[in-house]
Amino acid sequence: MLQAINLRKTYDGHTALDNLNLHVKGGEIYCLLGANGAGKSTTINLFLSFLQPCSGQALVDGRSAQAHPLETKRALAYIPEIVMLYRNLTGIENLRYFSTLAGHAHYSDRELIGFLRRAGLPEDAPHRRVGGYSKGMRQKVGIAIALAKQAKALLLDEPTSGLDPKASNEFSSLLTELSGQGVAVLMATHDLFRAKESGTRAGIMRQGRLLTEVAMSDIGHADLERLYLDFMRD
Amino acid sequence: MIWHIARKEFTEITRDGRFLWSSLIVAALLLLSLALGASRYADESELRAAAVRETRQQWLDQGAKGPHSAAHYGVYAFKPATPLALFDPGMNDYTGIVTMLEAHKENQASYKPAQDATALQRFGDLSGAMVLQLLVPLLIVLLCFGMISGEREEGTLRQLLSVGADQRDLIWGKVLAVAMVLTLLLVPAAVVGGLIAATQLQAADRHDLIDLPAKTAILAGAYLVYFGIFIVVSMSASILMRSSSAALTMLMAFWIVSGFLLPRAAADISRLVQPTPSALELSTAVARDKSKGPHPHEVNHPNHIAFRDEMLRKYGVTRVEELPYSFIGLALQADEEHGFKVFDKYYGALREAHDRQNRLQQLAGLFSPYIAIRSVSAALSGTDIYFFQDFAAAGEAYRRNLVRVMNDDLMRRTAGQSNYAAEWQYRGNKELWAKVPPFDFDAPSLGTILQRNVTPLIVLALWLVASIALLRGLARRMQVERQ
Amino acid sequence: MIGNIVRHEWLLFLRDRLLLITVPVYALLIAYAVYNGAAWQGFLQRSTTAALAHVEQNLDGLQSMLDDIEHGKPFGAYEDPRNPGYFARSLGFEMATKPPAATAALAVGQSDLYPSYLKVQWRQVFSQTNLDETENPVNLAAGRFDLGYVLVYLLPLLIIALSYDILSAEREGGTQALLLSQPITLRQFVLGKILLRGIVIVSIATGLSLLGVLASNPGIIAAGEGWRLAMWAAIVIGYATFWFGLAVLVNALAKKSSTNAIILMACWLVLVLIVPAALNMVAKALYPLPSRIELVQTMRRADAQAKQEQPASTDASATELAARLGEDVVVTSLNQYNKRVLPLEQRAEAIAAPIFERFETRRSAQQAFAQRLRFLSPAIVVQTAIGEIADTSTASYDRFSAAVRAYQQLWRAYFLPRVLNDRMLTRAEMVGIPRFKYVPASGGEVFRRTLVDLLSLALLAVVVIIAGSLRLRRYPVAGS
Repeated sequence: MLQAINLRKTYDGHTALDNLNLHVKGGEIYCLLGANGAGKSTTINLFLSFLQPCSGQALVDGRSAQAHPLETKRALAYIPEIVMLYRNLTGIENLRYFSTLAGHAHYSDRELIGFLRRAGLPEDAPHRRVGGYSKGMRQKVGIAIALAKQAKALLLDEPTSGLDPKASNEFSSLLTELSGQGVAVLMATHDLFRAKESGTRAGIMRQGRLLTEVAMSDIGHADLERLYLDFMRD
Repeated sequence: MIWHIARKEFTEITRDGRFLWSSLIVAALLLLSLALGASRYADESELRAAAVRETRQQWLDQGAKGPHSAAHYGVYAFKPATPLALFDPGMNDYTGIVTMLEAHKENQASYKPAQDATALQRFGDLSGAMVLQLLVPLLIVLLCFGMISGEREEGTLRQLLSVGADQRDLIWGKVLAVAMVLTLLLVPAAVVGGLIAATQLQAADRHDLIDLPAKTAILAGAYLVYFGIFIVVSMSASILMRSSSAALTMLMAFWIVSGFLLPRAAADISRLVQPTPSALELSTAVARDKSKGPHPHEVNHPNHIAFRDEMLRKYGVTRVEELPYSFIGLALQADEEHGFKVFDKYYGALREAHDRQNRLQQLAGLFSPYIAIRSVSAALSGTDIYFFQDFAAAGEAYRRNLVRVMNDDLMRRTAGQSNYAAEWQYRGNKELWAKVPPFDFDAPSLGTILQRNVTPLIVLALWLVASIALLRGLARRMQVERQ
Repeated sequence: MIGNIVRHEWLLFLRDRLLLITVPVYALLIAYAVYNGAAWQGFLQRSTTAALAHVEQNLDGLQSMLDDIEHGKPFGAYEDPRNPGYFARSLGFEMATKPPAATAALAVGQSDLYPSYLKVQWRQVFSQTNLDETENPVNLAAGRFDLGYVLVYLLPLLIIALSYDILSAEREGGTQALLLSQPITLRQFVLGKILLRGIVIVSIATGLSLLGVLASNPGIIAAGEGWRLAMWAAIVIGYATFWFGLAVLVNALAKKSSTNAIILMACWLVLVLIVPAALNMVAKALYPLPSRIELVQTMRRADAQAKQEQPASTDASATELAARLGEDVVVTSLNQYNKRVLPLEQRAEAIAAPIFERFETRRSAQQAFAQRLRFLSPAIVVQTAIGEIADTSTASYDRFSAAVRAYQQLWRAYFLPRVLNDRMLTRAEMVGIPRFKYVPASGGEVFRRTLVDLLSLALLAVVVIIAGSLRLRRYPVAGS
C-alpha cells in the first residue's frame, strides 16, 4: 500500500533522507523510530507530496505521490503531531469541512457525530467551538477526520505525544481496529512502548537512513529498547 | 537598567536589515523632498521679489491719468512665504497666489497652483512634512509592533522576566531604544534640512522671517511629541494585543484612520455642518447689495440722485459745482465705503464659515493626532489657511487705503469742476502715486500662531499624556502569557 | 470543490467578529460616499442652472431698461444697454456652464477645484478675478470623501485586511497540513478563499454604489449612459482583482502573517501615495510651467507696450468735448474710450500670446507625461478612468475651458465691429447673442479611453496572478 523506493531528499546539501526503501502492506502498522531529525517526518511528507524527492519514488497504492498528488491523497489520511483546527467552528463543522474536501460531502450530521464518538470525543463536544477544546480533544477530531475519510492508508506523525495515557491507549486500540479492516498505517513515533503495543513492524532510522527493520512479534519490549539504543550509539 | 535594555534593543534594531532599508528609504525621501522644496521655494521667492519690485515700479510709472483710472489700474499683491514653507507646503497648492488690488472690488487671490498641476496633485505632495507626518509614524509602527508581542511569542519574555528584570524597565528601555533609533535617523536629516533652509535665509524678505528661530524650535518640539505619541501607542498595542500580527493590524488601522480616513471625513463633515454659499450666490448677493450704493456714474439712478441731494443739503449748496469737494470724488469714495460694508458682510461671513469648518476639523484631532500636527505644522510654516487669510486681509486693507488716497486727491483737486471734467480731464502724477506706500505683509508672529492653534496643541499634549498613562498602566499589569 | 471552500470560508467569515465590524463599516462608508457624490452633483446641477437663470434675469433687466429708454425715461450713459462696448465689457454677459454629467456622482474628481461656470464678457478669462468656488482650501487639500476615494484608497486596504494572511494564517494556525492532506490543490484552495472575499467586497462596492447612483439619477439608463456604469463596475472589478492577485502573490512567498501585512502595506503606500506624488514631482520638474506671477506681469507689460505703440491719445478732442455739457458728452467719451481700448487689449493679448502659449504647451506636455506614465500605478489608472466616466477629470475641465476661450472669441467678434462702427445694439441683436454650450467628450471617445485603462488594469492583474500562481507551485508545504 505504502512503498518507498530509493527515496532521497536533501536540503541545502544536508541529507534528510538517504536511499529509503520501505513497504507497508494493508493491515500492517509500521512504526518509524528514531531521534529528532532522523528523517521520519520527511518520509511522511514525501508520501503526502508536501515535499518533492530528489530521487526515488513514494508510491501510494502503486501510484507515485509526486505524479498524482490528488489521487494518492484521496487514499491517505494524515494525523499530525498537533491537530490544529478552525477555532471559530464547532467540532462537527470542522469535520464536515475536511470530509467535504476529501470528497465525502454526503455525510449526515448523525454519521459525522458517529465518527467523532468513535474517535472518543465526549458527548457534548461536537457542537462546541474548537477554540475551547483541549489538545487531546483536537487530536480526536483529527482521528475522526481520518475515520470519515475511509482511507486505505494512514500517516501518523507523533500522534500520541502529549496525550494522557488513557487517551493514548484508546488511540492504540483504534489503530488496531483500523488495521484489522485492512488499513495500512505508517506511524512516526518516539514512544517505544506504544510502538511495541500496537505496531506490527518497526523501522529504526538515523540520519536519514533506515538501519534495520524488525517484526514486533519476534521481539519483546525490553529487546526493542536495547536494539534502539544500540543503533543510536555512535 | 533601562539604559542596558535600550542599548541592547538599539543594537538589535540597527542590525536588522529590514529596518536599515526602510529607514534609508524614509531618509532619502525626506532629503529629496526637502531639496525639491528648497529649489521650489528659491525659484518662487526670487520670482516674487522681482514681481513685487516690478508691480511697484509699474504703479509709480503708470503716467499721467485720472486718479480713479489709476485705482482701476491697481497693483498686484503676491502671497509671500516663510522659508519653512519648503518643509511644509501646507495649503499652498490650494490657495491663490496673486491678488489684484483695484477699485470697487475685493478680489479673492487667484491661481491656485493645484489648478495648473496634473490630477496627480490630488494624491498629495511629497514634502518633508508628509514624510514626517505619515511615513515616520509608519516606521515607528513597524519598529514597535513586535517589541513585546514578539518576545512573548518567541518565549524570550518568559525567560527575561524569570531572571528578575523589571517589566517596567523592559518596556521603557524599549521605548528609549526606538527614540534613539529615530534620533539617529532624523537628526542628520534635520541638520541637512537646516543647512538647506539656511541657504534661503539671505535671499528672504525680513517680513517673512519674523520669529523664525522660535517657530522652528516649536515646530521641532511638536514633531517630537507627535513621534512620542506613536512610539507609546505602538508599544501599548504590542503589550495589549494577543499576537504580533494582531498588534500590527491594529496599529495599521490606527495609522490609516488617523492619517487618511479621518482628515477627509472631518473635512467633509465640516462642510455638511457648516455649508458655504456657491461662488455664484455670493457674487450675486454682493452685486445686489453693492447696487444699493450711490451709483457714482449713473446720473439718473435714484440712488445717485438721492446721494447728490444729500451732499447738497449737507454742504448747504444748490449745484454740485459749488460743493467744497468734487461730487464725483465724494460719490466714488462713498460708493467704496458702501462696498467695504458689503464685502465685510459677505466675505466676512465666508471667512467665518471657513473658520468654523477649521475649528471643527481641529476638534477631530481628538481622534487623529495627524490632524493636530498637520494644523500646527502648517501654521508654523506659514502655509495654513490663517496665513492666507492674513494675507488677504492685508491686501484688502492696502486696497482700501489706495482707493481712499486716489479719491481724496480727486475730490480735493477737482472741486468745483463738472463730473465729466473731473473724471475725464484731471490727471494725477507720480507724486500722487507715491503717496501710496509699497505693499508689504508681515508673517503672523509666533504668539498669534500659538493662539490660533491652542486646540491642536492641547490635543497633541492630551494624546501624549493619555498614551503615556496607558502604557504605564499596561507596563505595571503586563502578564507573561496573555489569554 | 471550490464551492465547498467558498461555503466554508463564508462560515468562518460569519464567525469572525472583526470582519463582522469591518465589512458593515465598509458598506456604510460606501453609502456615505455615494450620498456625498450625489449631493455634490446636485450642487453642481443647481449652481449651473442658477448661472443660466442669472443670464436670463440680466437680459430681462436690460430689456426692460431698453423699454424705459424707448418710452423716453431719462437714463445715464452707463446704463444704456444699446452701447455695444459697454454691453460687451460690463452690462451683458454669458455664463459658460459645464452641467454635471449623469454619472457625476461617481467621482467628484477635479470638479471641486475648477469652476463649473464662468462669466464670459469682453475681458479675457485669465484676467478675471473671483472665478473659483468658495471652497475652503483645507477641504480642497484634504479631498472629498467620494466614491473615487473609497475606491482608490480604501478598497485596496480592505482587500489587504481580508487577505493578507489567507495562507500564512492556515500555516500559523496549524490547519494547513491537515487541509492539504486532503485531495485538493493549493490553487483550488486559494481560489476558493479569494472568490468569497472578492464576491463580498466587489458586490458591496458595485452594488451599493450603482444602486445609489441610479436612485439619485434614475434617468441614466434611459439616457443611454448605462454603459458608463458597466464600465465603472468593470474598473472596480479590475482594480480589486489586481489587489487580490497581489495578496495571493505575497502569501505565496510563504512569509509570516505580519511580514505579509507589511509587504502589502508597503505596496499600497508605494502605489497609492508615493508613485503618484513622485510622478507629479517629476512632471513638474521635467516640464516646469512659467509661473502665474510671470504671466500676470507679462500681461501688464504687454498692456503698457500696446499703449505705447498706439498713436498719441485724443486729448485734443477730449478738451473740445469738455467744453460741452450733458450726458451725450459722456456717451461720446465712452465710445471713444471703448474704440481705443478694445483693440488695445486685443493687441496686448497678442503681444503676450507667446508666453501664454508656452504655458499651455508646457502644461499639456506635463499632463501628457502624467497620462503616459499612469500605468505605473493602478491607483492612477483608476483615478483617470473614473474621472473620464464621471466627466470630472482634468481633461474634461481643460475641454470646458478651451470651449470657453473659443466662445469668448465669438463674443468679441459679435460686438467689436459694432463698437468700431459706432453702431448701437438693437433689441434683436441683444437677444440674438450666440450662446455657450459645453459638449462633453463623445461616448465613443470616453469608451475608448477608459477601455485602455480597463485593459491595463486587467494586464496588471493578470501579471500578478500569473506570478502568484507560479510562486504557489513552489509553495513549501512542509520542511525548510
